[in-house]
Amino acid sequence: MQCEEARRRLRSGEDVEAEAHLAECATCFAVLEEGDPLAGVLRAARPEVREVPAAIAAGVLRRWRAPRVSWRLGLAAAAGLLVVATVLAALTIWLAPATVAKPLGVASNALDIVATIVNGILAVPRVLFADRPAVIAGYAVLVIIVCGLWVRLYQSIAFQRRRVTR
Amino acid sequence: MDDEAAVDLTRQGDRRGPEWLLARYQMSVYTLTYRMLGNQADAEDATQEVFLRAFQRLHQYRPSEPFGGWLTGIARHYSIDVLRQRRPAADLVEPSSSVDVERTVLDRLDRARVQAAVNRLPNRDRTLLVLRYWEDQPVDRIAQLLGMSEGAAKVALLRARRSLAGILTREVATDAV
Repeated sequence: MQCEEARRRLRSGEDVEAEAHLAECATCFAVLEEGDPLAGVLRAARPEVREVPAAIAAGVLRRWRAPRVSWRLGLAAAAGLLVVATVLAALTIWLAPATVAKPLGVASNALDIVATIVNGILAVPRVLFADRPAVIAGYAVLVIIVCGLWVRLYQSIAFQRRRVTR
Repeated sequence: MDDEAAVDLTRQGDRRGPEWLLARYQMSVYTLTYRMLGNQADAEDATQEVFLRAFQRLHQYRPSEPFGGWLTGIARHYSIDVLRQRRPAADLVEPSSSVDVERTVLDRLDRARVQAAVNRLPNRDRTLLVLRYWEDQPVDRIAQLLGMSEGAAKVALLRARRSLAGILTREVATDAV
């Protein structure tokens, strides 16, 4: 379709063919827009704001919280330290076994004590859950669901706090 | 202080940072949201949300880009999202069959009347006209913001002007009765 024909049709009313031409023709779009007095009226009617409500800045500053160290960052740092400590300990044992023999002996005794305590704590559930994998699985699922619900509840409370503005 | 220093202070949790950024940019952000959303209450809420989002997303801000431009982008996207969630306009007026509004109609228009008519448009038409004629955005940018092709945006702008012409013509005709 020729541009003149498309513009004539579009000035007269809706025309699917002419609109298809308009979609592809930057010249027709510009001509029609510039020739439309409503475009000028719209620009002249642009709202101008003279004053910003004082409540805006106060509201933002009240709701803004200084950034805290992310718990993920803390967890990552702790995991990283653990890895580094483990690697260093392994290297030390490998490189100088005689040097660490006595401390390891002490550590071994300490570990035995800890293991005894832990075994004592776990004795009751071990008896309860022995040969009952379904019970263990169910218990694990229950713990996961409760943790998930707790996280959602916390997020919901935190979100509601952020929405309070006035 | 400049934008970069204020952004650094905000990241460090120093209140002077956001105070400075608010003082410098709240007028431009509020003006944009007021034009986009059409009323003071929504513009106030939107302005607050825009700044809070910006402060939370400072890790995404690139210092090579002007902070004002980045903030304005957040404001536009947020305003468009708000408009998308609004209920459609209850009274859909028959658009004018012709793009050209009669001289008699134009002569009776004042700013308040035109602004009120724009506010009565369906949300998408309103967004198109505001972005083009009040925010001076190019067609390709409008298309990108609204998730449409450039060709579709051109046609949509023409139809939006027709819709506005229909509202204004009907209002002026009602006055004459």
